[in-house]
Amino acid sequence: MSLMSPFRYRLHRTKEVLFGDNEIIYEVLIHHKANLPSNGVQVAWERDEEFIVGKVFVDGDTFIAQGKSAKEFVECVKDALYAAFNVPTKYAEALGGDYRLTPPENEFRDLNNKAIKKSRLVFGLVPTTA
Amino acid sequence: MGEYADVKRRKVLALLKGLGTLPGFKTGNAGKHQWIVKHETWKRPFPVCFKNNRVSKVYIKELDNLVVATMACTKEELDSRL
Repeated sequence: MSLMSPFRYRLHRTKEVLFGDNEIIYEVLIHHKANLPSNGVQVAWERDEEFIVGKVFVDGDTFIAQGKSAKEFVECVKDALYAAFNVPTKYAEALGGDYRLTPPENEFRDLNNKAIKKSRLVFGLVPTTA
Repeated sequence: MGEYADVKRRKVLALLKGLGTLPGFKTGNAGKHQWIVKHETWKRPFPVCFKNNRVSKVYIKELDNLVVATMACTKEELDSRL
């Protein structure tokens, strides 16, 4: 495992998509899905200058997420969860459509409302048929 | 969080590279826009988002607390790398 700059990492990921092994093994996908938190993920967020910054509480651990907009913040929370639970990018992308942690609509509206400086939200699982 | 300020991404990268040389620590990339810091005693890695040019002070404060708790280095040593 080596630490890459954002530019080098983007290049590395592009190379992986173009020339790497993009095969999704179903059993591995199910394993990652089972390892991800199945209960609501609590997020305490606040506006901090240009950012929305949130503390993500899951299974006794605390992670941080930041974003310049509500959409970017929610994406960052998901990305941080996938990174913290060791889900490789190709599996995270495969799970993205199937396993989707999403805040309720009214809490997402609060994120967009600049008058609200801090609040909490709970990411819930969207029920799937898989 | 008064003593902290948002930090430029390249400074955080330098900090994480330094952290990776400490005993028990490993650093790398994960997800779409995350650096991760792992320690052998932690249950899970700590992700740091690099999507924007600046990293929030909240990340730095949380990472400081986690790293200092491992006794691998002091808060002053960490802060001097920023």
